[in-house]
Amino acid sequence: MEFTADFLGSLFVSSLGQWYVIIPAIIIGLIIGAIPGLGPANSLIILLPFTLALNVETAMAFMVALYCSARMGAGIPAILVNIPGTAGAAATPFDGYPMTQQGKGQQALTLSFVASAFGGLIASVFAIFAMPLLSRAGYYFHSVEMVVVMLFGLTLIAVVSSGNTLKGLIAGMFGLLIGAIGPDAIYSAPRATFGFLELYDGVPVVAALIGIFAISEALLMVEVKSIVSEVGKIRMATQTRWKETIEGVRMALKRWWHIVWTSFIGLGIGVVPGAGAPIAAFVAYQQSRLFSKTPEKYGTGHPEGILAPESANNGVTSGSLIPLLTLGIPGGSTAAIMLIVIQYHGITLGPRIFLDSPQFPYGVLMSMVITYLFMIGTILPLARYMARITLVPTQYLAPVIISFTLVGAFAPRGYLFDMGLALVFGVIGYIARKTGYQVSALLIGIILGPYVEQYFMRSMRISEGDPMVLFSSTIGNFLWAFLVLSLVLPPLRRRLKRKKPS
Amino acid sequence: MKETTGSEQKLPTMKGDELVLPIMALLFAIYYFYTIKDLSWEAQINGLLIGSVLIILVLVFLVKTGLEFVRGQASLRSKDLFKINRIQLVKAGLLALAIAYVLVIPYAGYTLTTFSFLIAAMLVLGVFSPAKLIGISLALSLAGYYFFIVLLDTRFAPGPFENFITWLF
Repeated sequence: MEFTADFLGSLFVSSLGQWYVIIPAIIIGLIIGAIPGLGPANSLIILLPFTLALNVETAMAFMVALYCSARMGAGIPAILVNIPGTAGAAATPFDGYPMTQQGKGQQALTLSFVASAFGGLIASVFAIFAMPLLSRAGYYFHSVEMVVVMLFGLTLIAVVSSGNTLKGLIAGMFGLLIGAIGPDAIYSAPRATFGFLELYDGVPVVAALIGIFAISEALLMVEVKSIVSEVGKIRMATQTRWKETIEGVRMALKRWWHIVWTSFIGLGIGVVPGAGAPIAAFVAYQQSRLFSKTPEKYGTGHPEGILAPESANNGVTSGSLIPLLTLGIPGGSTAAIMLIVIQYHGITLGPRIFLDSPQFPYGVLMSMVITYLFMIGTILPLARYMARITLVPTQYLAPVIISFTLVGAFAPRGYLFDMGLALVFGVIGYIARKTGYQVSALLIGIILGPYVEQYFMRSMRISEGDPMVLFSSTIGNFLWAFLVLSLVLPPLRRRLKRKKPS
Repeated sequence: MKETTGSEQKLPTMKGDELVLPIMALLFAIYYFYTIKDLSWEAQINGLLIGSVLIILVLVFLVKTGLEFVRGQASLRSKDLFKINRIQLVKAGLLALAIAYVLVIPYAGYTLTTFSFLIAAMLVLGVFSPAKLIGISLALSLAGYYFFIVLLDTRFAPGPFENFITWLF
């Protein structure tokens, strides 16, 4: 295949020609992403009759645009009302919500939009040029390496617990044990299901997410008239103009390198089938804090705390399509639906496609580039108006949050049980928040717990029970060393900082 | 060491609320161990590792709190969680309405249940203007019906409103 400027130019022009499906898909994706529980996968299933009726290139442009914008949309409620739209945005409220409380919601949204759009754009452009190379990355990341990647995410429990380590660790370990409800990774024997058949598949992450963040937040917010502080309200009344959006763009672009390297974390994790946006966002946040000159500012409304997870979870979008386009292996549920549409149109994915019709896989990634370019123009101006939602009195906001998010808990599996489960998690989240336990640590445990067990048990199975297998690969050992460094460096740096003034 | 006078003496921190989550975690860990006792080691190992660490952490927390209690630095009284006041009653009311919402939705359908829930919840939260109550609830429940039921085909059992609309069109 000739990888020339002409080839890329023709792809760009033909992808640009799909604007009439890309723009509506961006709007649909934003709305769907912003409602907890309604991920892109559900929406694409519902829209299957529509996508099957389109030609395959147009259908892919539509699905890719919806997928990317839903990822971006999930950050909106995370920032404005402390409720991540999807698990991929679970690290966004750490710094997004404190900014909203300070009356800087518009700035926080702008930071999130710029990071999402540029992070996604950079990752997809890189993916176009490095697709054959990236497709091989999946081969090098086996269960052993993935155990270490998951541990990177888990170390975030310690990071978010820095205020009260013991309480944070209890919340994190409690979350991990809740994540271990359901079938074991080898024999699928059900564990701790309380006799509920609905828990035989494990704890549904969406119900847990909605309960821990949305329901508990709704119960808490009724204590105050508005989620924005009085100072924040004055700030919003005097400064909520285009200036805030421009300031957000400036702050984000000033940290362009941060967006670049965290988007690569997302791309790298996205390439590995089974890994996804939540892991990428947690790892990026943890790494961002590790290399920051001001780690103490994280969790208080620090711009880099928004840029890192948002850039990474959008970097995942292009990464997760690589195994699909190059090997025909869907990396997640959304990619699996795309595969259905592709197969319906008689296209066989795999290495041969690069000889027979290379314009298809490259065209899909190019439509992602176009989507992110369109997103910059269409979404940035909306930040100013979206931020106004935080001024709605809590006596209206709390009931709306409860009723709409409970539907989100129901939507993925169609079980009323999940709505009840969300309420149970709501109570747990409420108790945790009221008594100073980190709900984010709880959620990290619930999300990452099943992954850790799955990869750990797979490694054990391969090695016939020898734990030394965890140190048997070069990449794995490199990651172990890096993990140890990430754990040792911050306290060392703090110590050196303390010594310096004396 | 400087002696403290009665007025300077620090009141013990109320730690009763902080014990709720660790005790829940402890009970859950014990239940978890009970459910895996007859399973193969592959199914046990993960829960055993996590559960053991969790139990150790909870015990450390309990011992720490116990020591503070013995020293008079902490009391086991509830600071906020179990106090009965207006705001707590409002929260309990909201939670009760949310439970009712989940229980009623299979019979009354999405739209009617959401409409009733929004009115009741806003009343509990102190909105008494009939125009606002009915207007906001009607607009939101109809918007929710259009978005969740019509557009996204969320499969709630149809209620009287959904059946009426189906009959109408």
